[in-house]
Amino acid sequence: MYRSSDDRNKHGGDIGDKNLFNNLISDLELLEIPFSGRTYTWSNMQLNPLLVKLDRVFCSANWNLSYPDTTVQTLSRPISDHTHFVLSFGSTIPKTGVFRFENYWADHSDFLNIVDLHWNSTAYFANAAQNLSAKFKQVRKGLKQWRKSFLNFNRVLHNCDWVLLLLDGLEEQRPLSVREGSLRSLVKLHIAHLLKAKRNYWKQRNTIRWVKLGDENTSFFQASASICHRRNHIASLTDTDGTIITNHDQKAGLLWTAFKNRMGLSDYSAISYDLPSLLVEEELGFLASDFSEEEFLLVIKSIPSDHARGPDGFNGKFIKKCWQIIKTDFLRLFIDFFANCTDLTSINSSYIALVPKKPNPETVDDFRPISLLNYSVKCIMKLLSTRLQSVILRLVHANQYGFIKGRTIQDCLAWAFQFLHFCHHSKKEIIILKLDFEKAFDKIEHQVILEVMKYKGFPTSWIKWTEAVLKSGNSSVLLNGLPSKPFSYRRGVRQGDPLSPLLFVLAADLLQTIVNKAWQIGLLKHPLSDDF
Amino acid sequence: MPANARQLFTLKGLLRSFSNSTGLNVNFEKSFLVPINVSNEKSLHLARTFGCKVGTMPFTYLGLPLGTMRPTVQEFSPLISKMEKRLSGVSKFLSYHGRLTLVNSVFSALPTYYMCSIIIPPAVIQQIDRFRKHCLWSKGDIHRRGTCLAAWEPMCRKKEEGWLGIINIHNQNVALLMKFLDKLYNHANIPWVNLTWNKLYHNSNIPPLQKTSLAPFGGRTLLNSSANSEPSPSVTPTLAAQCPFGMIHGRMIC
Repeated sequence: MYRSSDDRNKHGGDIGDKNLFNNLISDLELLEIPFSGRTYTWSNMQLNPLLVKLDRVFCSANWNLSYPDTTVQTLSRPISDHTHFVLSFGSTIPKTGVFRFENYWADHSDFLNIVDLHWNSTAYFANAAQNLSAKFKQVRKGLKQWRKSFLNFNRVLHNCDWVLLLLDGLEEQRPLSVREGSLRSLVKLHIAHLLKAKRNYWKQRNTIRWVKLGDENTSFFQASASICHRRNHIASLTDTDGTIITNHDQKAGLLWTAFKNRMGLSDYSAISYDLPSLLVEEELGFLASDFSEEEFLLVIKSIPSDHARGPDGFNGKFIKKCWQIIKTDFLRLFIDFFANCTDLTSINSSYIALVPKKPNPETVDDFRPISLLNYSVKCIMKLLSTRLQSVILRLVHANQYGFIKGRTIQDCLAWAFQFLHFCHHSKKEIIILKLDFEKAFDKIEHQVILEVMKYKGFPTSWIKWTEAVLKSGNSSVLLNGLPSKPFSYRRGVRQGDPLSPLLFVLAADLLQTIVNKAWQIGLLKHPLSDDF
Repeated sequence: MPANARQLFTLKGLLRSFSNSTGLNVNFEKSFLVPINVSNEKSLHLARTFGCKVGTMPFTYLGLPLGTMRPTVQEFSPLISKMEKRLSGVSKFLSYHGRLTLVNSVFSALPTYYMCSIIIPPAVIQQIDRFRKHCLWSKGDIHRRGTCLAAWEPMCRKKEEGWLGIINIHNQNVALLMKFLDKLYNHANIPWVNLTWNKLYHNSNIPPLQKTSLAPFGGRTLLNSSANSEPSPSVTPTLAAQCPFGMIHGRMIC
């Protein structure tokens, strides 16, 4: 039995059986628990083997709610032709020691006072970035303390229920007094608050963009959160020699070395092209003009509040809720940064979250490294990228379609279809190359971006800003919620940073320029021209 | 580029110098070369020169099958399997109204990316309609024959007139493709439009209604439908806006 055509390494199998199996699973309302580390579980042990995913683990929806931390790991195949499974389960989703702001705190009546108290109790730093990071640190400390005064949701809810039951029972015996009546409505109000907080707690644990309004379904969010947790849990990793690693420290070490080698080293020597003759200078003085306060406020509004939190642990919800308290320090950071008198190193750190590229990731390369930036840095990036976006149409060649507002992928496809069509009808011998750049975002050299900017006529202060955000970046890899030690960026642009795609497009446009130049001086020929 | 070993070698040199300067390496494992009008031996030789594999014609480019032939039904299988996966999900817990919304907002939206660029063959539309009918009438169960309460075709008519307003995939498809006609006729400053004009109409001002000009994305179907609606197709204002059978919202009125 198999569920989809991806479950076999060869074509075949009965589609009717597949549908029957899937319908049975959905009729019984079962959830499949995916296993990590391998794609198939059975082999017919032939020379050209047939590999199928035959063994599966299912659980009911209730099991999923009671034991959200259920995971399946695979072992090797010593005797049988089936793979062994190890099932482990836990009743809670493990929490990490890393501080993260919880949205439900913001609804608490004491919240603003606590933030105000701690935010304004730190010493003043001349460096705006350092100042901000010290304040965030103090608030983190304060909130951690405050959090301890919270009781366990479920226990409090249980107690409230018990009180209500008691009062209801009493009401059947005799009419309630005024005090008892008001106690009951108070308890009911409290329950409503708690339920809302509980819903927010679970809602924050997964990203569901398609539920927008008024869903009060805590158990739905809880179920999605545990599915999400299971999907993102990395139980084992295969290193370059093919050894399977399950120990946390070894896994973390492997990831750290892999990403350090990819982004923390630079092979840059020099650009072997004469850039001044290749690139055309444009009038871009506008990029360096001063940012107004409205622009700052607009950018803070435009970044969604619910996105993943960076290393400082605060999301947009916190920033918006406490804006009156933190406003001056935030604006000072922006103003100082754009006047080039602050060093971002203390806040320009990020966590690399590993998002699986395919259903059963095995090696480090099967994950997409998405950087989670601090909100403050994200604002600066967004300010820069909004400005760059407005001129990018002039700067990159008309054949570059990715990441540019105002150009659509449909036109790119139309070009490809049309071009192929003409090639076919020209009766000439032509080849089409489809090239893939490996780890393009992670490996592009910073110096190339800056040099290209310089010769495209970007203002000096703009180049300084870009250099500052690129060079001060550092990252730690998150493995199952635990961050590794940080490394600093020597090359690459971070995925998850709003400025990255534009910087990448700018630098990659160099290839287009070079190919065009080679065509102009006759090194390369256009396949549809008549002279070959 | 021309199928010529020396040209390929030059390009390889260019790519190498590019990767030395910028750090962007070509992944030759994942890259391939597609020959057009080239013999097998020659393309193998060229691939060896370049260091990559030889690819064959309908290859995936930006998620769509790209080739000189009209895409076959087989090439839509990713789309079909994606829809199939959605079918066995939540539809059984929903009411008629909920399932109707699901049909219009999910099952009719999944093929949108394909519909924007290529004309979907009738066999695939049939399959899509089968899924949509199953979702609406038999709660997503592909084996049970549900009770169809009404014929499918009239249900695609407008809601205001008392029908269900289910999106007609073919009309939606044609409407989405109309924008290509618009761009072509109005000579928008877009690389593919310029390419087509330079190639086909460089000495005349009005683009003739040549069926070949838009052949790759179902030009004939497009032109037929626009010819039905508009007697003189040498239109300058946007064709899509003039299109009188109201396909802008993808619903058939006529």
